[in-house]
Amino acid sequence: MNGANEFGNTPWYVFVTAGYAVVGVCLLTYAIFSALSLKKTLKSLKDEGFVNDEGKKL
Amino acid sequence: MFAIISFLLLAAAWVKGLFFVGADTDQGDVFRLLFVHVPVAWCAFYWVIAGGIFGLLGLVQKEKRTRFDRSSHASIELGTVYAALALLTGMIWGRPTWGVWWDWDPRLTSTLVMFLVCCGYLLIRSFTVDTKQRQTMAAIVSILCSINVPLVYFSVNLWRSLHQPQSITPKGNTMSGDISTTLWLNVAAALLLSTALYFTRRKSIAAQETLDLARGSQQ
Repeated sequence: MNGANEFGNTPWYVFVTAGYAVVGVCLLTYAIFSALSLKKTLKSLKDEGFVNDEGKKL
Repeated sequence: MFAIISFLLLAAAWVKGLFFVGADTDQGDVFRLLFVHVPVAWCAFYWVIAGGIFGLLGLVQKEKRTRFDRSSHASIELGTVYAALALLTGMIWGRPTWGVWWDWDPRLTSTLVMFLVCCGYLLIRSFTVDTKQRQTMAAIVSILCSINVPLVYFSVNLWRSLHQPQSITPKGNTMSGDISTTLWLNVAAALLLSTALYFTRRKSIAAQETLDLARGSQQ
């Protein structure tokens, strides 16, 4: 370890963990919402009779 | 499945960056933010440029405009998310290395402008009701978004900047071998994951537009 590992009273791992956590949480949330939105829309298309079970337009 | 594999690959690349690369001589361990900040910034550039290309293709090939418009929408949306993440991780890195969270430096300011133009693109889409008008306006703004990318990328060379200059140039790179390898691994994993996210979002947008169209034609 060298002298550049503490910044004021904050150790390096606070910044590094925060950076990785922000990216991980945001991307995971985005992926989950995208998948759920797709699932919900496909279900609506099917329920409202616009596509059949194979996903083909009626 | 593709998304899950990409997430696992990105997690493995992060573990390598966090635990299997030595500390930097100048910055110490805080430099490990490089493995998350640079890939998200490059993903932002990639998707914003892709959005602009799809927008341009939509303007040129009118018979395929709807398909290109959906692709452009998914790309710019993804580019906006990645640009926000690049700004956030940059701020987190800026605090220990520069002593400030934010500085009106050319790289940071131009990235913020790119992010705001992308937000404008998404706002225009949600405010414009007429489909043809929305597609045309969105295509034009998507091209404006992508014009920002070279400006952001070369800003560190064009103006005096607090941000470090480019580490990777056509002449080579200034990083050590293990840092360079880990960075490329992280970039590849991030691009793969962003591609998986793009396909999911693209399908979702297409399904939503089909549903809206079907509901509209019934009324």
